[in-house]
Amino acid sequence: MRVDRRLLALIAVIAVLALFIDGFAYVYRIATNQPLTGPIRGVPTLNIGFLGFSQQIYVHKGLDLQGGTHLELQITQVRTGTIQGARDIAVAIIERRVNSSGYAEAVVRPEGSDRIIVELPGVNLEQAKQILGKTSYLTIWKWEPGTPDASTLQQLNPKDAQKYPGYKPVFTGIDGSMITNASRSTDPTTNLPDVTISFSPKGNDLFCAFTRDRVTHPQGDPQNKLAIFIDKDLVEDANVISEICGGSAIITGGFTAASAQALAIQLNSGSLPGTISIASATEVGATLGASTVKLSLLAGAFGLAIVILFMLLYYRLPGLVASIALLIYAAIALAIFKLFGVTLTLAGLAGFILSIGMAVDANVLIFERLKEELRAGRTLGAAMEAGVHRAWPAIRDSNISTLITCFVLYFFGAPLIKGFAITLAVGVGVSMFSAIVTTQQFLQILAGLRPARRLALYGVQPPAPKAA
Amino acid sequence: MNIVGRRNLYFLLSLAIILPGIISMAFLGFRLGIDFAGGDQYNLTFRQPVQATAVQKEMDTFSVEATVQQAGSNRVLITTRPLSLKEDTAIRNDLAAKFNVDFSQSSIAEVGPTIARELVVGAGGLILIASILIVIYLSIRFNYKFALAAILALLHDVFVLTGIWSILGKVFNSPLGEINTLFVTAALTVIGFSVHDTIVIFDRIRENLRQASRLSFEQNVNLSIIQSLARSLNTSMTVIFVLVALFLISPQNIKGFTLALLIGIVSGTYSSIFNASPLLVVWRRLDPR
Repeated sequence: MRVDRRLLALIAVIAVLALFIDGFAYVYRIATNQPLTGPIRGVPTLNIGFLGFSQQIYVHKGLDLQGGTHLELQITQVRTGTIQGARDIAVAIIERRVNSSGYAEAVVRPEGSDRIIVELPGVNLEQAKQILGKTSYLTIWKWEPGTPDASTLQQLNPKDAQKYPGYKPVFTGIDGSMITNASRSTDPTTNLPDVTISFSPKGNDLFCAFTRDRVTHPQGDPQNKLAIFIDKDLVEDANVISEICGGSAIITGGFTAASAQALAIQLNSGSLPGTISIASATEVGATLGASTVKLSLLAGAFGLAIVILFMLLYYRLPGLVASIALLIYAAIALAIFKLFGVTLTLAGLAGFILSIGMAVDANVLIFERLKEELRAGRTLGAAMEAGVHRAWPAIRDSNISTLITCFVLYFFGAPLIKGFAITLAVGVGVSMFSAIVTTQQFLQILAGLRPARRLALYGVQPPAPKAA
Repeated sequence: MNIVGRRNLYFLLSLAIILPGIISMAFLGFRLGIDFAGGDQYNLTFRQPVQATAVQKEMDTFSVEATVQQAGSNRVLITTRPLSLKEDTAIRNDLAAKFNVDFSQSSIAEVGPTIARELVVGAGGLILIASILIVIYLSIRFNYKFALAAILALLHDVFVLTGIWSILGKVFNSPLGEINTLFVTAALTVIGFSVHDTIVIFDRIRENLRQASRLSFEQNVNLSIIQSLARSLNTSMTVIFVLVALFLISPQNIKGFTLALLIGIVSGTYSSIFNASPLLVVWRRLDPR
């Protein structure tokens, strides 16, 4: 086998690209005059349109490394509909509450059929409970000539309350407790999406009187409109086309299917869909998270240094090759975590450390074989080729069985286990590339260099000359 | 060096480590983290040295079934029954006022009892599925005897780890020996490593068996172990270097995690050399086909 220039070029390109991605955050911070530590602001997003790929390039740290509160909520005692429906409604409510509280980096997502995960970076458990415990309140208002008074401005978001100059919002007395159900529907004549809501008898009486009064105003006049507020925010400002006394109403107003669905969810969520309890909550102090990161990085660097030292002393020249391959490996793995937004947690770090071990192992396997072949008296080039060739089945089978484990853990495991599986799988994948392609190419370069041909450089005594 | 010949000695050594663990697991069970029992856990750091007994006295006034343990000169670990928001706030304010707690250096967890049970039962199921798939894969690449020996070595490592954890948590009453979600992760890591390590030696046996030689099966296995010994030890040493570094400097809340990894990797290395391959020989004697 010869040195393959194209492969070498590929390795170089990948390594440089990986280093660029790894160092990108620092370059970006310097370029935008941001401090080198602490949260980074306005990270640009990498867009590859035709692949549908869009990702902010920085290490996504899990809450255990970043500090903050992780909550797992459970929905029980659903009043109407399915538990999944209730879960979606609850996700919408919580998302809105969290966002209106100004926690931009928060994550709210459904988990399983009846769970919701909420992650609030930089928030302690007490604050988190207050945010989540707030009740969401739906109210319907009308617009009347005048200016909003101080108490209205306190009750509603001032920007929304002053939407129409010269008009003020007046509470109709209709609130979320009077809506029994809301769902997305379709206008039979125009085929456009709209939202159907059902009222309780009391709600129906009030709504009937309210709409009868509103249709007397021409369309385009704010007094023709029906304003729906949730908590302090105006979520819908729709025209009233006819009086509505049938116990249900249809809200039209240029909806897309998605926005109609969203409104239906919001209307339903004026009253919580069921009982939401905290199944688990973890709070990690911000400094504690940061010191965990620092310690892990320190341990990683220290461990890597010892590994490199050991490889150099034990395997000599090939050890140097392996060390370079290992550094390239670490750079590539880190870049992949950044590119694909893999969230790094303690469990993920464990997976990564294990994969370093496996990356080293592939090299150790090759070098042990290389030594054997050299001791058997083969030439350097032939020994290198045979070393890689004979080490391959062991590397393949051990890594495939690890990948099988990762696969099972990723597809069936809890979130914590998923994080572990994905970092380990990335690590194993990259380490195969590193061991087989990178190390092999570097070894071939060595075989071509005259000063690198002394067997002592490989920790092997030259075979004794055969007796004549 | 005759490793296979002394296999009974090595099996005994494994048993000597596993048996106390199994007895401890059977009679004492585990020290369950709050992930399992449900409750609140405060991992508090103070700005000055503090005595666990003093904190315990203070916590007793709240009657929340609190146990306080020293976790360093200025750290304590408090476990309580599940608390309401009001109780939680009262305790925090009280401790902050009386003991100078540094909340930015602390972690607090609150767990309902269902979650962790699901995680562990789930993890057990996952280990089972993964094991079956690995057995299938190894049966194709090697044969079913190799596959089962690899899985037995894996179970060995799981029992060593969980047994030591039971003893650590229940007999020595150390917070390190707590079963929590991080321990589950560590156990999974060990399983990955164990199979990996075993396969490398099996590969050597497979290769040596293919070559025509006058060696018996037993001699062949022993030769393969010796031939891959340098590699086995070197690889394990590198991982152990990283883990020892991690263990020494890791903060209290993840010390148990790194210790579990360390024990598991050492056990994994031992079982691949001294258990998995000699098992093949035992099997061959019982069933010489």
